[in-house]
Amino acid sequence: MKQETNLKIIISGPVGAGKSSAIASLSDIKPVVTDVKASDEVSQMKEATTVAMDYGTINLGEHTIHLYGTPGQQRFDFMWDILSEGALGLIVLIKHDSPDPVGDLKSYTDAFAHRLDSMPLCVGITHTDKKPAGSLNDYHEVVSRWGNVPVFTVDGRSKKDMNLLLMSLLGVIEPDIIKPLVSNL
Amino acid sequence: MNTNLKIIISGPVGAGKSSMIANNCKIAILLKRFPKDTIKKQTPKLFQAVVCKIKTKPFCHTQIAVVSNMINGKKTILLAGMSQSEQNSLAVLLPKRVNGGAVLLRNTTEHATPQPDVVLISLRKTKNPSGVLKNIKNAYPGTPVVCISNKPTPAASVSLSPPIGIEKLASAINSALHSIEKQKINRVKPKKQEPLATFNTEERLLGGLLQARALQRETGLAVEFQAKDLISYLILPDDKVLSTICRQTLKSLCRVRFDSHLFKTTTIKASALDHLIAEHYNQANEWLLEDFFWHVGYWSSQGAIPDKIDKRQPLHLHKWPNVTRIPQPLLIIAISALLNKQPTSAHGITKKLGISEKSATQCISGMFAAENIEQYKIRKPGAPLQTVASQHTRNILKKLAHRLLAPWHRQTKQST
Repeated sequence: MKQETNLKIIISGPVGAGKSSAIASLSDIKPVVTDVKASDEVSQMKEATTVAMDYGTINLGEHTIHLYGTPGQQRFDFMWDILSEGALGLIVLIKHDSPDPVGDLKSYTDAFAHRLDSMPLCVGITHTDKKPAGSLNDYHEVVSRWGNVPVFTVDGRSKKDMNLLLMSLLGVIEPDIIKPLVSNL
Repeated sequence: MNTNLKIIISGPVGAGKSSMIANNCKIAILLKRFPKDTIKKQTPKLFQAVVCKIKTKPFCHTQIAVVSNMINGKKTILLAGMSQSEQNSLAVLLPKRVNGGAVLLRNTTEHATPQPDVVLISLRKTKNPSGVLKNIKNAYPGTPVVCISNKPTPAASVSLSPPIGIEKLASAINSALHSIEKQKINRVKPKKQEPLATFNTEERLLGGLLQARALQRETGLAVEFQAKDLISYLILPDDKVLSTICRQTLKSLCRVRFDSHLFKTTTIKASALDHLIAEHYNQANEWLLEDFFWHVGYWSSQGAIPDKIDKRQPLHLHKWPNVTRIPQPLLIIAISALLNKQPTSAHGITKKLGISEKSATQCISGMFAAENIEQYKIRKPGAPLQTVASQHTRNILKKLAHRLLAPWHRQTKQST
C-alpha cells in the first residue's frame, strides 16, 4: 500500500532576504506565489511582496517535499505559525545588508521559538555581495540556545548554496542520512 | 518502529481530564499535586508528552506509564522507593539542578521504556535493600544507580547517607550522569585504534599563526606575523587577515617546514596601522579570519592531523563551519553533523563515514584551525536536537539527500 507522507520545509526571514528566490532555486515546479504590488515602505525595496506564502515542491517519485515561504512582513506573522505546524525543519534567511541583521535573526527565531525545541533550524545569510560578511559569530550567538545551528553565507538564487543549506538541515535531523552518500566522494 | 503518538484531552476546569488520564491510561501525572503556579508553568510540556510502552519486569507489581518531555533531550531520572511527598519535592527542586535539565519518571515499583539515564532509589525503608538494588540493576543494565541508604551500599554507583541536601543529591546525580556519558564515548572507540599520522604544528606556518591569533585576542590589537623577511600576515581586530603574498603561494608555504625561531609576532598600535597597511599590504590579499585559518589548516594536513589534537580523545562540534566558502562542503557537512550528534575521535570519523584518511585529516585540520571543532570535555548546554523521524520519513529524507547530492556526483564523474 502506498504510504502518503507530506513533508514540508519552511523558509522564513525578512522582506527581501531572498525567500522566493530560494524556493525557485530548490523547487521542481514553477513556484506558486501570492505576490501583490507593494504599497508600504516595502515599495522602496521591491515592486511586489509576498502576502500569504510562496510554494514549491521537490518531487521524489511517489513522495513530495513541500517548500513554503512565509511572508516577510511582521504583520503577516499569524501565517508563520499556520505554515510551520508539523514542519520538518525551518530555514531562516537573513538579509546581511539590512540595518540590523542580527536583530532580525533574533526576532524571527523568537517568533518560532515555541517550535524550535523539536524542529531543526538552519540559517542562511544573504546579500553578502552588497555588504561583505566578516565573522558569523554574532549570528551563531543568537541561535546558540538551540545547540549548534548551521549558519552559512548563501545566495538564495544559487541552487548549489541552497542545496548545501538543505543538506545541513538533513544532517541536523539525522547524520546517518548523509553518511553513506559522502563515502565515495 | 519507534512512534510517539499523542492524544490531547481538553475541557474546562473540573471536567475530569486528570481523572480520565489517571483511570484509563495508568499514567503517573507529574503535576497533579503541585501548587497552582507550578502547574501553570509546567503544563505546556504535557502537550509534548510521550507515552511510553509498559514493560513488566519480575519485580514489578503494578503498571506505570510515564509522562515526560524526553523529546527535548533532557536527562531522565527514575525515582524509586520514595513516598509521594518526597517525589513531589524532588520534582520541584531537582530538574533545574541537573546539568542540561531533567525529567523525573515517577513510580516506586515499575519499569518503563525507554531506559532512564539514572535511577535514584531510596532504600531507607526497604527490608531487603540488596535484593531491591539487584532487581533495579537487572532491569536497567548499565544505568547508574544513585542510592540513598542508611548503610553504605557498594553495589550502587553512588551511595548517600542521610541527611542529604538537594545540592548534594544533584551533585551526585550529575557525577553519575557524567560517568555514564564518558563510558558511552569510550564504548564507541574502536578496540584497536590505528593511529592517524600527526604533524608538528610548531614547525609549520600554522603553529606561528595560531600563536599570532592568540596574541591578537589577548591584546585586542592588530598583530603582524612574519615567517620570513618577505612573508607577513596582519591579523586585524575585525576578524580579517591581510597578507603580502597571494593565495597560491600560501598553499605551498603551508606544507613547508619552518624553524620556529624564524617566526616573529609583533603587536601594532592603532595609530601605526593605516601606515603599515598602505606601505606593505595589498587589499587584494585580504581574507576573512575563519576562512584563512580553515585553509591554512586544510593545506597543512597532507594526510596528517595537527599534534595539538589528542588522538585518543573525542572531538565535538564547536560551531558549524561556513561551508559555502570552503572546499569539500559535503564532507564538512557530514563530519559536522556526526560530531554534533556524537563526539567522535579523529580515527572514528574516518571509520564511521567511510571516507579516505587523507580527506578526513584535511577536513579535521581545517576545522581545528578555524575553531569549528574542539576536544570533547563536557557536553555544551543546548543539547543537540533529538531525532524523532520515523523510518518512513528517514527513507524519504535519504531520497532527498540523494537528489541534493546529484550535482556533486555529476561533477565528480565529469572530473574523473
